[in-house]
Parts: sequence; C-alpha cells; structure tokens
Amino acid sequence: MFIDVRTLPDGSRLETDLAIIGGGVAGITLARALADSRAHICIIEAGGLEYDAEVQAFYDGECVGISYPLTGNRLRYFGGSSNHWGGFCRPLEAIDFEVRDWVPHSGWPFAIDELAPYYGPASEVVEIAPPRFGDKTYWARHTGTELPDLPSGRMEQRFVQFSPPTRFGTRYRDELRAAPNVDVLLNANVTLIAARTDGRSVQAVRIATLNGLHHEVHARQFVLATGGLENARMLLLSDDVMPAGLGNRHDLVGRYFMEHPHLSGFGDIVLADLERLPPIYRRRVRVEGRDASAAFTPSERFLRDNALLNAVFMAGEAGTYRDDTTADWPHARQHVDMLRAASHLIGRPHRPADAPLGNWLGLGCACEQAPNPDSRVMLTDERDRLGLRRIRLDWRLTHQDRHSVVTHMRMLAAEIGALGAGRMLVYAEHPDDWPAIVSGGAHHMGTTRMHDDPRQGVVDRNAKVHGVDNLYIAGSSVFPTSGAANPTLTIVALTLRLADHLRTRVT
Amino acid sequence: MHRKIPADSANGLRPTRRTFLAVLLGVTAATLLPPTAPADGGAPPPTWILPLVGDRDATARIGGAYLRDHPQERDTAYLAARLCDALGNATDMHGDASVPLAAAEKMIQDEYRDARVVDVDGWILSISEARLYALAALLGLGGD
Repeated sequence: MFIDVRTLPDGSRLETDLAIIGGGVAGITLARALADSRAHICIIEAGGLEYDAEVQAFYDGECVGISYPLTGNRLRYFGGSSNHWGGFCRPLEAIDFEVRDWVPHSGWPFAIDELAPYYGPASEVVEIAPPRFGDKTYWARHTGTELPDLPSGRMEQRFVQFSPPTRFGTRYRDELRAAPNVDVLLNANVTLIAARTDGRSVQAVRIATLNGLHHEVHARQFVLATGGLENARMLLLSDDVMPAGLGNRHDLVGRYFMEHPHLSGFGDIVLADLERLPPIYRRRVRVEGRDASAAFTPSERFLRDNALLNAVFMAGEAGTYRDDTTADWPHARQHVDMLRAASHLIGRPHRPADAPLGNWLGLGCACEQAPNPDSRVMLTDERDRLGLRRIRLDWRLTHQDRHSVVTHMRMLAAEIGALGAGRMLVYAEHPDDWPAIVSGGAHHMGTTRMHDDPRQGVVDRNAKVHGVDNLYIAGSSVFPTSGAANPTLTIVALTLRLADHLRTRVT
Repeated sequence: MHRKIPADSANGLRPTRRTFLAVLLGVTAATLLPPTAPADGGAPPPTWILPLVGDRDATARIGGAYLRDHPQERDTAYLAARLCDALGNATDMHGDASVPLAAAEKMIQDEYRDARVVDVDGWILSISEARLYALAALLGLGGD
C-alpha cells in the first residue's frame, strides 16, 4: 500500500518489523527481497511518486572542495536516483576487495567470493541477466566479430552491460503496491533516527511533512538507504543521544567520501580504418535484446606491479574526417595530421577514393579514488525548511588518484597502438596536467564505510552500524573502496546480501 | 594524400642497409636544414621510408614536434641507424614496398606492446614511429 503521510492524522505512530529509510535502488530492492517473508516492511520515502522541485531543494548544500552538483546528481522521489540512472552495469573486480598496501585504508571485510553469488540475482533486478561481463567469447559470437586479445598484459577487456535502465520506482511500483506486507510512506521526511537512551539501539524514526505534520515509525530493525550523501547526513543529524551523531563514536561518519572522477575530453583515439577496432569497442551493440560495450581496464598484474588505482575506459565514435575536412580547431588539426602521417601504418592498404580519411573516438574514463579521510561530508549551520542542517561536502582528490589516471591513459594509448588499431592523443602527460574541471559520476561512496574494526568503519561486514544493535545501512556509502565499476549493480548485490542477513531478524 | 609508391621507383633503387647508411653519410649535412628541405643534392632518398609515411606536411609537423623535444636526435644518420637496426633486413626491399611496411608495422606494434613509447605533442607514439616521422621530416619525405 502507498500512503501519503500528509493525509495521516498529526502525531501518527506507525509500527512495523522493518523500517527502510529511503525508497531508491537499495530500499526498493530490500523491500522486494523480503516481501515474501512474514515481516511487515515499511519504506519511508521523502518524496512522492514524481519529481517535485520543492522537495528536491532539500538536497541543496555547500561545496568547499571540488565543485559538486549536490542537487543535480541525485533525486529525491520514489525510485531515487534510478530515475536518472544511465544504466551502466559492471561488477567490482577481485582486487577491489583486497587490502592493497599501496592504497591506504583499502580492503573490504570479505573477498569478492562473498558477493559474487549475488551479482547474478542483481543482474536480474536491473534487467541485464544473464551477466556476461568478462565473457569475450560470448560477445564475439553474438556480434559476429573476432575480438582481439590485448597484447601487452597491462590491460584487459571487460564488457559493460546496460540496464534499460530500470527505473525502480516505476518498474517495481505495482509489485510493491500489491505486496500485502509492504507499505510505502510517501512525502515522509525523516528528521531524526531516535536512539534509545543508551545509544545502543534505535527506537523510532521521526517524520515531518511539508504541511507541518509529525509522525513516528517504530520498528524492530531499521535500514538507512538514502544514498551515499544523505546516509551520512542522517547519522550526523541524529545527535540527540550521541552528540557526534549516531554511529559516529570514532569520527568516521561522512569521511572517506569517494566518487569516480570522470574525465571527458582527456584523450582521443583516431582510427584510419574502423575495421581495425570491432564495433563493440566504439559503440553500444545490441545482443539478444540487451546493449553492451567493451571497456578497457588495467590488469591486476599491472596494478600490483605499479601500485596504481583501478580505472575503466570506454570509447565512442565522435566524428569522421574526410580528405576535404577543414580541421578548424586545434585537436582536429592534430587528428587529421596523425591520420595523414600514419595512413600507411594504420590505414586500409587501398583506401577507396570516397572512403573517409579516418574517425575520431572520444574517450570516457572513470577512475578509482583512494579512500581519503579528509574527503568528507559534514553539516553546515544553514538549515533546510524542516530545520535540518544541510550538507557541506569537501570532495578531495590526491596525487595518487591523478597519477593513476595519467599512467593508465598512457598505457591505453600504447594498447591501441599495439593492437594496430589507431593512435591516441593524451591531453595530460603529468599528474599536474589534471584538467581544471573534474566531474563525478553521481556515485556517492564511502561515507559510512564497512570495516570489522569500529575504529576503521561505521558498519560491520553485515552492514550493521557498529555499536547500534538494530540499525543497518544499505547503499554505496558502505563501500570501503570504490573500484572503478559503476556502483548500482554492486549496491543491488550488497542489498540482496543484506536481505539474506535480515531475513531471520525481522520476524 | 593516400599515395602509393610507384613500383618502378622502388624497383630502380633497391637500397640495402649498407648502401643506405652510405647514402646517409652524404646527407648528414642536411640535418641542419629545415625539416622540409630536400636531402643532399643528388643523393637518392632512402626509399624504404616512403612506404611507411603518409602525407609529407603532416609527417613533418609530427616529426618536427619530436625533434623539438629531442634536439639531440636531429641527425639523419643517427635516426636512420636506429630505424635500420630495428627493421633489419626489411630495408632491403627488392622492389617490394610491402616488405618494410609489414616489418615496420610489426616493430612498431611490438614497441607499443612493450610500452617503448614517447610523447609527441600529446600523441603517445612508439619510439621508432616517432623517429620515422622525424627522419622523414628531416629528409622532406612523404606523399603529397
């Protein structure tokens, strides 16, 4: 049942077995996964069923580090940020879970084997099943093209599969509406996660509405699933019993904020002969009703040997040059020069007169960011309409982040050359050449990180907040490290794992 | 732009590595000339380069950029020796322009594979490819 809490009598007290704060990817996935249990489940969603600018404005905040669109890259209504998700799906790599001595604060409490069984079911949730992320044979067979081996051993090919994308709020709305044991509370802004006086458990969450009502939801178990920024904010705001915020005994909540720094226009590939790079490397191809693209990622060996962070690169066709092309901007002139100079080495032996001189591929790059306690979410003194302190985000990158990307870019260029496919232009040779404008991928990670040691993590391996018996966290805020894969698939996998853990604890 | 080497011009020269290096001794003086200056008067161009490089002006710009960053290599004999060492017998074309081209493609791809690369105006190029453009630039070689 969907309930607009603005229509409830003021001061309503709701009882449930499991209260899920947040109706986004994680919250909806958790409710669906446990809908077959005997537990009553309540999703508490701050927004309604559609976008509302007035509600969205609650995400305003202050940036004191790298500029970041706090309001623009997440959505506060049912379905959450899946409502503008791009659909990129790829699991984390085994090395992403490891303690790496060259990556401070790295290491998950478990290896990929723990999460691997959940990636398959997660791929069904995001409608990309079956997963074929590393199956070159499959993509070669179904695209009818031979996919080359990467010669250097420094890079590997992976495959990104694209969700339709699944808009969780619409895709699973009817299913949740029909579930007899699931209630979805809409327009319900959580203002406090109220701990019992000893701070060791949560008693209720307090809700406020924009028409001035106040309610409470009491539950046996609580799951905070409001996204990587709001999860930290909610814990910090919940300071009535624990002055530093709930789960923040060791001053970790909000720290280690990570993004996947996205660099576009950071390098270009030119091809004199498109046939030298199969289509799946340069655009999305459709196979059995699903879209996929090939991606380049550094090999584990290369990462270990060179103490680098992870990264992923994808190329896309950006333009065609003909013999009479007027290259009227600097990089185009460089492209045309290279295509003309290297035409014998990378071109077709007998290019027809009407064939293009060559093609330009743009590059997308998403890189792992090293966990950094100084990159963090805090609270400002400015308050929103409900009197809650807003977010202050201090997103920081380090030399290690920049050095890794620049190194990988050069190695990708070498790989393209080793394939005999084309040539690559890199606009940064040194880490100091990092572009002035770096964007994120709307991937908010690390702010309630997972670690078995309460002094190093906010939640334990089961995503339970250290020191609080009945409060769990779902979503990418628990990632101790980010890898370079887009996080949604891993968020879903982790949530399904959390559902298994909670199944016996909510009834 | 995409000029093929006329078969008869290749047939007429048939340079070996030894004769080519001898020719280069004669053109060393040309290394001080602007990149597009012709080789030493009367000296035949090292024709094995021709199947490897495309447009002359484009090649000169890229080769010139390499030489700006590596002025110590502004020496045709040095560059040719490095390339001949890398290409081996492939410079003995015997009239077949595909021989040096195939050898150069393999050599250059191997260098990329081994990350023997250099930055040339932002391009990440194999060291021999960069030297090839540099030598062509110094000798004014390439297609139209």
